[in-house]
Amino acid sequence: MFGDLFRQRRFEALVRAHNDELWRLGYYLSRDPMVAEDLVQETFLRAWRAFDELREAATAKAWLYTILRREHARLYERQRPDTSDDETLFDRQEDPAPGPEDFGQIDELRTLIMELPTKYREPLVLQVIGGFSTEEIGAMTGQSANAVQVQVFRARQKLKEKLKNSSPREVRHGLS
Amino acid sequence: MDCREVREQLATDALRLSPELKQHLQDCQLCRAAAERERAFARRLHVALMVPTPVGLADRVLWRTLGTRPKRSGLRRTGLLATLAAGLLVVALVPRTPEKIPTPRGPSAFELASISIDHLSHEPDTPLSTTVVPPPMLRAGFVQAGLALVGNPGEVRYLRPCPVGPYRSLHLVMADDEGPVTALYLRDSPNLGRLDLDGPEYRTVVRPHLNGNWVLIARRGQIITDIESALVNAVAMPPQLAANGYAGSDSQTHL
Repeated sequence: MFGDLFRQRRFEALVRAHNDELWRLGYYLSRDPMVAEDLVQETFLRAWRAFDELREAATAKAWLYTILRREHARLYERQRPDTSDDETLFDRQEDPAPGPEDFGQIDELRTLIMELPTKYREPLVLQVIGGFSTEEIGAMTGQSANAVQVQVFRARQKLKEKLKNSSPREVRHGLS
Repeated sequence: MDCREVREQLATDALRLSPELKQHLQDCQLCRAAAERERAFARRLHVALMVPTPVGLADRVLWRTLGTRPKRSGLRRTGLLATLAAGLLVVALVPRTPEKIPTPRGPSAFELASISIDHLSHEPDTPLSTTVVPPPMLRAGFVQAGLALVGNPGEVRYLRPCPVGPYRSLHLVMADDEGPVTALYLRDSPNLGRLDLDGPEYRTVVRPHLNGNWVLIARRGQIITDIESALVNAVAMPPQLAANGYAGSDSQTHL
């Protein structure tokens, strides 16, 4: 009896610790707040059923993210990520793009993130919201760390470019 | 580690720096400046990605998985229900003209107000939400609720589809100078005319619109006609539903 209670308390702590960031991941994967909640619900339902398999609390976060990604893939029968970017990261890169700290509003940035292809958006969200390293994201998504690095890099570059292009003329002037 | 490698690493993750990279930054002024730019972008990216999450999500998850009831404030719930009861009593005792509250329609409009306040008592923290719902989420929320956002409804600080009594509803919290206003759109609820009930503690307005009703709940005496108008003007029936004769009901409202 006390074992069950302890198990429930542990699970409740897990839910309260991770529900927000899982919802955000679900939101950025599905681009739909309602689907995001469904994904979180399904994720925790599956997590509860398999809770005894979770041996180390330290791995709980990656475990939950993986479940949510699978749920999302199951919902949308998503294709396996295109790993054609698995190449030398900066072959075509000249100097790094100018920093966009002076331009772009947060709302605009959110919209641009939503417009990114899934293969760029997902690793970016996993990195920024989940705090995962490229190696961890690679393990989670079945890709090499190098491929993830490329995707994250390109996601950021695309956002910077779009922000730069949509910025007021006077701001761009200072950066060109 | 040369400058090129440093810039490459910074452009991928400016917040997770290797010891070699840190050492390079100490010695290279240009790369230090680049690192600062990338860090500024990373911070902005983080802020952008941290969209507000639905209030009460953890409670709903726990309810579904463990059957654990959400932690609620019994005092608030009692207070809200007492407010409604007192409001109903005031309305019953104060003579009113038939034009203002049509007698045959009144009780059912009260019922819409009642189930809405009861719903609010289940989510007592929602009016306290301070994070603004971004426009893409707002539009998506209305689409999911079978509505189209065609104008600016004002600042929305909470958005969630909720079942309210037997109705599918969209639950919003609107920002207002005088305090937050809860707005519930009860889809497919009957058009019973407009009801404005200013109770001892809360003001409740039921406003027929399209194929349902808005139920607005604010503090007593709060003027919420601006928000009411903004919602009515900003929300429309999606074209495909309108084309199928899913008619609005605005023509019958009593404003």
